This record gives sequence, C-alpha cells and structure tokens, in this order.
Amino acid sequence: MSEEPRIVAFLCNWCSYTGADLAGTSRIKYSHNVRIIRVMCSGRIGMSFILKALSKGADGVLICGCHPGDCHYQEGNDKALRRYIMLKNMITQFGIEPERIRLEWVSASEGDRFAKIADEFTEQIKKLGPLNWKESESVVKGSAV
Amino acid sequence: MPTTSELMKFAAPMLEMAQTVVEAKGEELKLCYQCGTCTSVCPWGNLKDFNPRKLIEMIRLGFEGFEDDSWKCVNCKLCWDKCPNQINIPQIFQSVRSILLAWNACPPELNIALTSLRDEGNPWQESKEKRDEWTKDFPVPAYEQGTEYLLFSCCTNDYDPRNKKDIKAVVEILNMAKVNYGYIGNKEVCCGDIALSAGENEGYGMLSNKNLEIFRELAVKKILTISPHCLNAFKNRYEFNEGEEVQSSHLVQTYAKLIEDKVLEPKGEIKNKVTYHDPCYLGRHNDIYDEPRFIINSIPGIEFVEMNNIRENSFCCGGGGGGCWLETVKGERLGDLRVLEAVETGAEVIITACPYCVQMLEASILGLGIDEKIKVRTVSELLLSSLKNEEL
Amino acid sequence: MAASKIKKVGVFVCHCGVNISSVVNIEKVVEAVSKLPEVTVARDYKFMCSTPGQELIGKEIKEQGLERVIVAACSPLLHEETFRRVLVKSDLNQYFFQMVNIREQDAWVTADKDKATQKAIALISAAVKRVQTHEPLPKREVDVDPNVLVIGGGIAGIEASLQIADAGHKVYLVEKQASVGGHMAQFDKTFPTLDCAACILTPKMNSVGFHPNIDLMTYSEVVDISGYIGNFEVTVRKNPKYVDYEKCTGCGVCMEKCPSKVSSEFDEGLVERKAIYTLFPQAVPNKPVIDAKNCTYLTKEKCGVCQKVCEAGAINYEDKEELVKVKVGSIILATGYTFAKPDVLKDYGYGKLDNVLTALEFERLNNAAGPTDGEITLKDGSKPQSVAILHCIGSRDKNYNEYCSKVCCMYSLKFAHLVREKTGAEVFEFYIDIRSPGKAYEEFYTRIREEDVHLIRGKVAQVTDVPVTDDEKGKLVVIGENTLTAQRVRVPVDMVILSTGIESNKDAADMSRLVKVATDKDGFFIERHPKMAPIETASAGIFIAGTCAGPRDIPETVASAQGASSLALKLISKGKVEIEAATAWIVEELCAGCKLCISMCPYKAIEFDEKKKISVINEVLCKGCGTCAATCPSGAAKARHFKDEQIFDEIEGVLSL
Ligand SMILES: Cc1cc2nc3c(=O)[nH]c(=O)nc-3n(C[C@H](O)[C@H](O)[C@H](O)COP(=O)(O)OP(=O)(O)OC[C@H]3O[C@@H](n4cnc5c(N)ncnc54)[C@H](O)[C@@H]3O)c2cc1C
Ligand code: SF4
Ligand code: SF4
Ligand code: SF4
Ligand code: SF4
Ligand code: FES
Repeated sequence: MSEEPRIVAFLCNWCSYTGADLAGTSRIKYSHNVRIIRVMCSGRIGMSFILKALSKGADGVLICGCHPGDCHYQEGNDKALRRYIMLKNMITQFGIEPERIRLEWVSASEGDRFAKIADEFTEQIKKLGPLNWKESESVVKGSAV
Repeated sequence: MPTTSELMKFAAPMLEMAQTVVEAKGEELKLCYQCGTCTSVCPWGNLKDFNPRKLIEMIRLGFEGFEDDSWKCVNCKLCWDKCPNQINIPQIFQSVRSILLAWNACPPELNIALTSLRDEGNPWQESKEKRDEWTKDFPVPAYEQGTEYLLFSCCTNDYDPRNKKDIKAVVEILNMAKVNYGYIGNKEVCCGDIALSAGENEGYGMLSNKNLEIFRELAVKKILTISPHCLNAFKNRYEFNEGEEVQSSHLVQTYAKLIEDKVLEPKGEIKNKVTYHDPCYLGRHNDIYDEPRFIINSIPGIEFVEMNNIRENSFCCGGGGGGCWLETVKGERLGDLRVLEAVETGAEVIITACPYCVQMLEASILGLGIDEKIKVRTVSELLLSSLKNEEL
Repeated sequence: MAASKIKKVGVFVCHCGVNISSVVNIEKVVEAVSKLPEVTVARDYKFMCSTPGQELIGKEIKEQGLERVIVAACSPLLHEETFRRVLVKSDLNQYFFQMVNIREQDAWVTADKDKATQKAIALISAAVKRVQTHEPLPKREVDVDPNVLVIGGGIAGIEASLQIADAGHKVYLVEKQASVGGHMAQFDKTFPTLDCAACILTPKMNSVGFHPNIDLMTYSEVVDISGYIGNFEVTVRKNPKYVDYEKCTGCGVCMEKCPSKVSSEFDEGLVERKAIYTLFPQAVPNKPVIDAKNCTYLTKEKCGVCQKVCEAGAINYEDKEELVKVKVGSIILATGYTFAKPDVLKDYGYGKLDNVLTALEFERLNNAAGPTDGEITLKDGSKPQSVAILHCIGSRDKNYNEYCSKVCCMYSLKFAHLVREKTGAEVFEFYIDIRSPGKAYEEFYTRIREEDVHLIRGKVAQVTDVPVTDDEKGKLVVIGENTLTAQRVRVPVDMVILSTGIESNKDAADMSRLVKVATDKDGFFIERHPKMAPIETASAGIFIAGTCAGPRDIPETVASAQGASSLALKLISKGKVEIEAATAWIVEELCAGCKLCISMCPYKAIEFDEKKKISVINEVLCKGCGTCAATCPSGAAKARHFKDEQIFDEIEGVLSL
C-alpha cells in the first residue's frame, strides 16, 4: 500500500512495554512505522509469531524484553535469546536477511533508548527495502521450538 | 522638549539575535541557568570584567553590548568542563563571532590574519611559496605515498624564526629515532583550527578541504602533529569520510613511546629547575597530560616543579581562539599571569608543547622584563638537549 | 479461526482532553473503524475514564448488546483495570475487553498527524480482530497472607512498620545496619521547625524495638523473594553479630575495653569507634555487634578481651550467618538513600584542606551527641569567625547528578541558622536558586535572612588555600560570581560546608532485581504512576516509601510511609486478591508428550502425567508467562488471553494500514 517499511514490535509487558510508554510520557518522537504488540514476557514470543508477521507483510520484526536477570518470569528473556539465535539461522535459510529481525533489552527506564532503537531499526529496514515474503500457512504453523 | 522614551533608560529584548546565534550552532545557550560557574573559572576574570554568564544572558535576550567582549574568549575550555549544564560556551562565542564577521564587525588585526589565511594559507602574512624555506639548509624527508607518518608542521613553526628552532629539534629527534616520516612542504596549509574558533567558517572550510585533498591524494594514514591545534582540528573537527581511518597524534605521545621502548635514551643531564605549562588544546581539549610529564621526568638531573593550576585546571596562555592574533594592552595579558605563576615556583624554564604557548609566554616574559629569570622551551627542545648532552 | 458467528464489538475512542485529539484525527478514526464489519458501534468522548465516559460505555453495552469492548486511549498499564470494571458492572466478562494504546504509543510519539491517525486505525483494527476469540476467564482469587515485610529501617521503614503493627498485624522489619534509625538518626535539628531529631525519632525507634508485632531483624539482608501479591516467600540472611542477644544486657563494658579502633561511619569518619560497637548510643536494639573485618580475634585469633569482660557470657566468636524464611502478603521497600560524595568535591578542596566539610559531617559536628558534643568548631578546636555554605554541589549538574536533590536548600538554610546561633560567625551562602516550596519553608527562608545571613546568588567554582591578599592568608578562599551584581568574588572564610545531595543506594540495581521493581536512570524505584499511584509499583503487592523512590524530606517520607502502610493494610483487610487469570493450559489431544515445556517452565508448573503420557499444567503455580506456548512444537500448550490465534489476529491488524 505504501513505500513505508512495516515493522511489528513484540514487547514484554513488564520492562519493555513500560519503557515504550515512557518514551511517550517523555514525548520522544520515533518512527510511526513501529507497531507494538504486547505480550506478557519475551519468552512468549515464538517463532511462529515472527514468521507470521513476515508473511503478512512486515518488513522487519523487533523483539524487546527485560535486561538479562530482570525478566519478571525469571528467565523468559534467556529463552527468547536462544530462540532468536535459531530464528536468525532459520530465516536466512528462507532467503530472508537476518537483519530483518532484531532482539533488544529495554528496561522500564529506557524510554529514550526504545525510541532510538525504533528509529535505528526503521532506518535499517528502509535500507534493506521491502520484503514481500509469502510462506504457506502450513510452514508457519508447523515451525517448532 | 524630550520625549519620555528619550529620557527613560531600558533595554528591550531582541529575540532575533538569539535565534541567529542558535541557528549558527549556538543552541546550547538555551540551557544556561545563570549560575556563574563559567565566570568564576574563566581566566579573564582575573584581569578584567569579562563575564561569560552575563554575555550569554545578553545574547539570549538580544540585549546590546556583548559584541566587543565576544572576541575575548580564548577557547581554554575551562568553563565548558565545569558548566553544570555542559554548555559548550566557546562554541557559543564561535557562533556569535561568525555572525559578527558576517556584519564586518571584527577587530582589524584579526581581519589581517584571516585575510592572510585565505590568500596565503597561513595567518602570518607570509608567502605560501616560502613555507619550506627553513628546509633549504636543513634537509627533511619528503612525504611519499607509503611513508608511515605525515609530519604536519604548523604555520607558526614553518615561518616564525623562534619556532623554527623547535621544528628543527623535532626533525633531529625523529631522525635519531629512525621514525619513518615525511613533510609535505608547500602543499601544507593552515589546519584552520583557530580560524574556526574565530568564527571564520568559510576560511576554515577552504583550508580543511585543501588539507583533506592532500591527505587523500597521498593516502595518509597517520599524522604526527607538533601543534595541539592541528591535532585538535584533525581529531575533533575535520570531516573525514566514513572508512577513512586517519590517526592523528601529538609528538609528545611519540616521544613517550620511544623513550619507553628505549629507542630514545635521554642520558645527558639537564641541571635546571623546570615547570610544565599544559597547553589547553593538548590537555583539556585532547586529554594529554601524562606524556609530557613522563618525558620531563625521564631526563636525568632535572628538577621538576608543578605550578598551582595544572592539568585539568591549567591556566591559559591567552593564545587560543584567535587570541594570538589580537592585540592586548599591557595589564590585560593572560600570559603575564601564567609566567608569574611559573616564576613563583622558582623554575628557570617553562616547558610546553604548543607553538602558540611559546609565542604568548615569551612575549609576556619580554613585556615583564624578566628574560634573565625565566625562559620557554618546548618538550622537543628539552629532549634534544639531553639526547645531545647540550645545555638547555 | 473459524469463528461461528461475528461477535458484536463496541469501540470507544478517547480524546484525553487534547492529549490524543491534538495529534490523532478522532473523527477519521471513528469513521474508519465504524466501517469494520465486526463493529456495531464506535463512539468518542473527551475523557473516557471519567464517570460519564464509563457510563457511556455501560449504556452502549446494554443498548447495543455488545459482546466485546475496545477502548482506544492511554496505556493499558494505567487504565485497563478501570475499564475491565465497567464490563463487570455491565455483566460482561472482563476478559472480553481490549485496550488500545493510542496515547503513549501513538499520539505522544508520532510527529506526523496523518501517520498517527493511520497508526491509531491500524492498532484498533488489530484489537477488533483479536477480541473475536477472547474467552471468558474466571476470576482467580487467592488469600492474602496478613504479614508484611518492610525492607529498611530508616524513618520510612520505622513509620510504616509501626502503622501496620499498631493495626494488629505482624511485621518483619529487615535492616542492613546494626540499628534502625537511618539518616535521620544522624541529625540534631530538622528543618523547618528546628525540632530535635532525636526527640521525635528515638521514641519511634524504641517502639519498633519492643513492639510485640514487629520482628526486627537488624544486621540482616533480604536475599531472595519468590511468589506474588498476597503470597510472597522471603529469605532473610541474618549476618553474624557474634553477640548472643538473648544473653546480652547491653551494659557496654565490651565496647569500653575493646582495643581495636576504626573510623566511625555513623560519625562520618570524624571520630573512631571500636570493633565491637553499637551504631550510636541510642541504637535500637541497644546491643553491640562485632565488626568481623576489624576484630583482632576474628581476623588473627588474638585478643578476646570482650569475651573476657562480658559477665553475661554473650560473646560468641563462632556465630554463623543464618537464613530465615518468612511468608508475607505484601512488601514495603524503604531502603532510603546514600549521601552523595561526588568527585567534584576535590575542586572544593575536600579531603585536602582542613575545615572543608560535607553536609553530613556538619550534621555530626552539630549533633549534641556527636564528636564535639554539638560545638561547631574548627579542626584546631577554635570557633569559626566565618563560614561558607555552598549549594548544589554535584546536584543539578549534568556532570554528576542532573536532578535537584530537593532537601539541600532547606538543610543549608538550617545550617546557616545553627552557625549563627551557636557561633555568631558570618555566614556566606552561595546558591543558584533557593527552593523552599513546603509548608512553613518560605517563612523559614525569611527568618534566615532576618538573621543576617549573607546570601550570594552564584555557584561556587572553587575553594583554595592559595592567598592573593593578606586577608586571605591562612583562610579558605571561596571563589564564585555574585551573579546579581555581575562581580567575581573571593571570600576568605574559616569553614566551608559542601551541600551535596541524595543519591540512590549503590546496591539499588541488586535490590531492583530482587523485588522486580524497575529503577529510573538515577537508580530510584519507579512508581506505578508518578501522580496517581506514587506508592505502588508495577509489581503488585510491593510498595515504595521514603527516599528510595527519589529525594524527599522527612515530612514527605513519613507521608509516603503512611501511604504504603495503608495500602498494605487495605490488602490485609480485603483478605483476598484477584490475580491474573491468564494462565496456560495444555490441550490433551494435541500434546505429544515431548516434555519440552516441562524443561522450559521457569516455575516448575508443568508435570508429566505418566498414565496419559502428556504434560499437565498446575494452574496454581503457573504465572502465565507463556514460554510453554511459545515452545510447544505441537501447539498443545496455550496461553490464555495470549493465544497464538489472538496474536496472529493482532499481527494482521497492525499490518492492515
Ligand atoms: C545533610 C542532610 C540533612 C537533612 N536534614 C533534613 C531536615 O532537617 N529535615 C528534613 O525533613 N529532612 C532532612 N533531610 C532529608 C532526610 O534525611 C530524609 O528525608 C530521610 O532521612 C529519609 O528517610 P528514609 O527512611 O527514606 O531513608 P534512610 O534514612 O536512608 O533509611 C534507609 C534505611 O534502610 C537501610 N537499608 C538500605 N538498604 C538496605 C537493604 N538492602 N536491606 C536492608 N536495609 C537497607 C539503611 O541502612 C537505612 O537504615 C536531610 C538530608 C541530608 C542529606
Ligand atoms: S556555567 Fe553554564 S549554566 Fe552556569 S552560567 Fe555559565 S553557561 Fe550558564
Ligand atoms: S573558554 Fe576559557 S576564555 Fe572562553 S569563556 Fe570559557 S573560560 Fe573564558
Ligand atoms: S559486655 Fe556482654 S552484656 Fe555487656 S554489652 Fe557487651 S556483649 Fe552485651
Ligand atoms: S505459562 Fe509460564 S509459568 Fe505457566 S506453565 Fe507455561 S511456562 Fe510455566
Ligand atoms: S517479563 Fe520482560 S522479558 Fe520476561
């Protein structure tokens, strides 16, 4: 529909979503392309979410969780990190640039950092250009771990 | 009969002035909360009513009367380091100056230096063909593609009879240590650092472009500077392209390394009591404090004493920010205060590492009539004396 | 996601005054979402969270027979609860609700109005899709343990503990140091009333020590917290005191005889204390501890004097640290602050020049129970003729702490008064701005001016002992600008007091991890809402009191402590709390029995049913993080309210525009 990159951001409820709220309360402007979806913990963000987003027209996916050691469910972010590494390999095999997904730790006090990450990531995705990737639903559902 | 407005005295804000300064890169002036720290630390405060805080307030509201004083700041950076709002105050003056220059409202002597910079590539009204004249009877290796270091000499060292002594010392030491370096002679133009501080943006742009062109043409990777101002220009001001990895360093860093590695072994005793003056652009602007002290302390027989205001709190010679090109009346010379501070330590020699400091301090010594008591030498001159076992 | 029938959705868009409507074109948003087939009604209102706003939603639910409700307004972290309650009132399950954040995450962060409007529509469309598959979740309630944990025994912790204990409930008060009291115990007089700190604090400290409902654990630290609101399990480490408090009578002979001396932290290093010591004479409990690092017996097995002189036989060199587990329903954080000693102090000669003091050192010097019995004297014992007090040292300064420490202006004025009263010395007070907003504070400032204190507007840059005139010889010279006359001034004085500020504790990051309450960039705990929930935190059941949340004076500290205790008591008197119903479950038919989820669950909430060969989630233990759902290869593990299809719908929705 537009030449603007589309970016889906998954944020954990505790640190990162609060951090993104803080960017708002501090009135820091950042790229409107970043659309936030709230989940309880970065550990909830499965591969299927990312693949779904990419297949439905997202040009990039941002994942944010609490800093290591700060996860409100003890170690969900650690799981997210491990999954992220696998995910990068996986999308590379699909022929997608691994730079299209990015994992960042954002604490509740890092509103400015969140905004910076959002802008930087948007720039990066702009450089990569539109993705236009379509994958059959079955692969998305079946993708494990 | 006079009108009321002729009788009443008041100042009215002229907010356009502030806006102009902000647009000329002076935006930090908005942050000032008028605490006066800058005024208290500014070296000028010791000599005259120079008040950066008040000037900032006047500029911010566009009250007339800041024009003349805006040329005073010597860019010593003390205020910037201490300002609780981290305001780059010298930059504010630089912005104001660029506007005043555009209005042709600058001190005449400065105009002479700036014109010379534009026409001859040096501030000393000397011909650009004569830059390398000192090498006629004093051969210096030429820089060719592949030479490790480009020795960037500095206009003052190339043209001024006093400073030529210093650059000759530099060349001798580098030769002794078999450093792989070269000189580009008449292709060099002024680094432009002080021109920029003086608000001369265009002149600076022209000079920096010329140098950048040559650096690129000769694929320069490492630059060795003698003047901290050149160092500052290359390290903090020049706009190198992404991927152009040009390393700039100051000679004192090279010397310190050579001494540490025992390539240079200063064995000759120097039986003088000396003190060291931190040039603002070597110290505060570029954080180089230890190397010169290490070099001095490595010299046998020397007695090294420190002044009160040293390192981060060093007291400016008065040469920065265009100060060296301005005329100052007697009793209003920062260098005088610095020289007297040195005399009070009992030192016979002031060691320093900047051509402008040499000029300013020596002028003050002459003006104060104490040239019997104290003299100025550079780190290079000191080191060479020891290496050659000669008197300082 | 073959929903049998489209559920009727109502969308309510809030203007938030002009906060949202000045950026997002509300009219366009309402128009666009009205066109979505699922949407039965779309309305907007100035303040959706206000009573009329809530009533509007209630009315539409009833009249239109809405089955799902969406409010597009501020962050769900602020008002999700409010709107869920509207649904409950209207007999709809509260999970049939979704909140869309078009303020913090759209209007306030987007520069371009059209883009912001577009984003709002996309976000709302996502919610419209998502709510279709929302399921009614039952209320989950748990009992609240009526015990309370208070961490930190300064005036904040003391006050909170007493309030709760007086209401008849058990309090565990954990204090790191050997005595309660905190910073207030170090002061003599407090602004603006100048009443004596000891007179108002000591009785409270004693009450804490003797209260039947307070279990005071000094010299102790919290090392682990697990559980959740209503049911926390806390592990406290009692550090070895080497003195058996059951036996010790507090006679103090040991402290008299102990030969090993070290500098006293309570007296800011102005005097020494012994290796066996109480923090100060009125300490609570008034029994000593042995500082193991400095005790010659414990370090070198030499000495043993205290054991010999103790008639009660209370000294136990074999004492070991002890781990104690306690259960509580809520936690009050009252860990206070650290007195700042920024690097900049060296510009003012601190540590090099005699008679340059920090504010806290001056507090001790002035304290009737301090090293000089309250005489304000110079190092040589003489009285100062002139004193300079320098405001804002290391505060309001981007090189150190950017924030204003809030109490320094007032305590500096207090110092001026004390110096004038006790010594008659001339006082020069250098300030940038005097901040005296508080009850009777401005009046106090007026009083100080009447007392002939010389106020100079300007920040001091330097203190030196190098004279330039005869008057300056042997003096400390304070260099600054009087900005009101635009003159540089040098003032020779005998004593300089540096007013440095309140800083967060060095271990704030560790504490933040332990209690799962985030800190701001300066290390202070973040409140749930800066205005509307200044005592609650994002972690339910954990409250903040006093200066651990930011610079505060004593009245504010006490007020927040009383607030925290009343919130803890509210929980207790309710007896039950509702907790998130969004847990996970495993669909029996889909589970392949691979056990992957079991290894991933951080709460060990999943067990393997050996008979059925499938994994089963224990909902009482599950916290709803969703890790299992993200892990399960067969899609059997599902996270309630965050099901795959719900997130998928949301993804499609946010990408729709
Ligand atoms: C020089 C100075 C003068 C002042 N004068 C005044 C005045 O005159 N009037 C006024 O109203 N205010 C004054 N104030 C402010 C006053 O000090 C504070 O408002 C008040 O002391 C805050 O109390 P608190 O309980 O929050 O913190 P604190 O007094 O710091 O108490 C915190 C307690 O928690 C303990 N603790 C810390 N970490 C842990 C942990 N991890 N585990 C267990 N325990 C822990 C500490 O040991 C301490 O006992 C002054 C401040 C200063 C710096
Ligand atoms: S030190 Fe900085 S804030 Fe203070 S008056 Fe100077 S410029 Fe303004
Ligand atoms: S840079 Fe130096 S000379 Fe210029 S205003 Fe600041 S302190 Fe004064
Ligand atoms: S001597 Fe014994 S009883 Fe007395 S204070 Fe010391 S430990 Fe306690
Ligand atoms: S949602 Fe989290 S806590 Fe609950 S069972 Fe799954 S992994 Fe365990
Ligand atoms: S709660 Fe933030 S990453 Fe787990």
